[in-house]
Amino acid sequence: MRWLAGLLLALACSGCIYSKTVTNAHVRDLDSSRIVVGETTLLDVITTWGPPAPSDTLALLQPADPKEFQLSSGTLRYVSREMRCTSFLAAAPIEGAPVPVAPLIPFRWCDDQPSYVLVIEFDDAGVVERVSKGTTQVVWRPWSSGDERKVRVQTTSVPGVSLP
Amino acid sequence: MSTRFSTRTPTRMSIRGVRAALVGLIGTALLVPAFTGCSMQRHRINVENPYTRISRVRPGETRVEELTAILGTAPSGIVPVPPDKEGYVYSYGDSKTWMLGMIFLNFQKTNTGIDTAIFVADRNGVVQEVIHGTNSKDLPWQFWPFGGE
Repeated sequence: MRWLAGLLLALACSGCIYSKTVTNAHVRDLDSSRIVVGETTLLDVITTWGPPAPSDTLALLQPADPKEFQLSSGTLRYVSREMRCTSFLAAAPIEGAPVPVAPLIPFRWCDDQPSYVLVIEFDDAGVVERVSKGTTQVVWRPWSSGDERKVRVQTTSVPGVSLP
Repeated sequence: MSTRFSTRTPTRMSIRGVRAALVGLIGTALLVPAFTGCSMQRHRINVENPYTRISRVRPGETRVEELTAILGTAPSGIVPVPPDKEGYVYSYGDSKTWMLGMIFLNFQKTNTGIDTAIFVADRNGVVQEVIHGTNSKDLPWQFWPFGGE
C-alpha cells in the first residue's frame, strides 16, 4: 500500500514548469546601423520599421498616448520584452488522510524585463539627435539572482555616426 | 496420431502471464500520464487578419469613416499629426503558446507580437498615409524556452 501512496504522491507532484514569453522579438533584428545621427528622419524610421508598438498587452487596452505617436518630433521606443518563469507544483502531506495527497501548492518565480530597447530621439526638425540601444539579461529565478544580470547600453549623439 | 504436452504446468504459465500483463499495465499507467501531451494556444488581439485588412485601405481614396468597417474595430486612439492632420491609431497583435507537458517537467514558450498601425488622414477625412508594423506577422510556434540569451 505504501508504494501506491508514493505513486499517487508522485502523480500529484506534476513537477516543474519552465516558461518563456517573448514579446516583439523582431525588434531585436532591427538594424540600428541604418540610423545615422543628423541624417535619418523620423519619417524614414517609421516608414522602414513601422511605428513602435506597446510593449505589453495591457497597453493595448489603454488609449493611445499622443506623445508616443507624435510624427513631428519626440522619441520612438522599440522594445522587446521577455519573461522567464519557473514554477513548481508540490503536494503537501495531510496528517491522518488515507493517502498523503493534498491540493497542489504552486511556487512560481518570474523575471520580466525589457530585454532589448532601442530609443531614437529626434530634434524639432524630426532628424535623429541621439540613438541608444540597451540589452538586459533575463534570468531564470530562483536559480539566478537578478543582481547578476548583465546590462549593456550603447549610445551615440555624434553626427554622421550610427550604432553597430 | 500423437499429442505433445508441455513439461511446464499450466498453473505456472498463468502466473507468469498474469505477472507480465500486470507489469505491462503498470508501465502503461505510468507512461501515459508521464507524457501528458502538448497544448497549443493562439490569441489574436484586436484585429483578425490585420495585414489583409490594412491592404484594403487605399491612400487618397479611403475615408476615415470606412476604417472601422475595414478593420473590424474602433481605433485605439486618434492623435493630432502636425500641422493639420490626424492619425487614427490601431493596435493589434498575435500570440502563440506551445506547451510540451510531461509529468515532472513541462516546457512552454509564448511568442507575442504587438503592432501599431497609423492611418494619417487629412482635414477632409481622407486617409493619406498608412504606416504599420509587422511584429505579429508569421510568429513561430516554439516550445523550447531555453537559449537566446
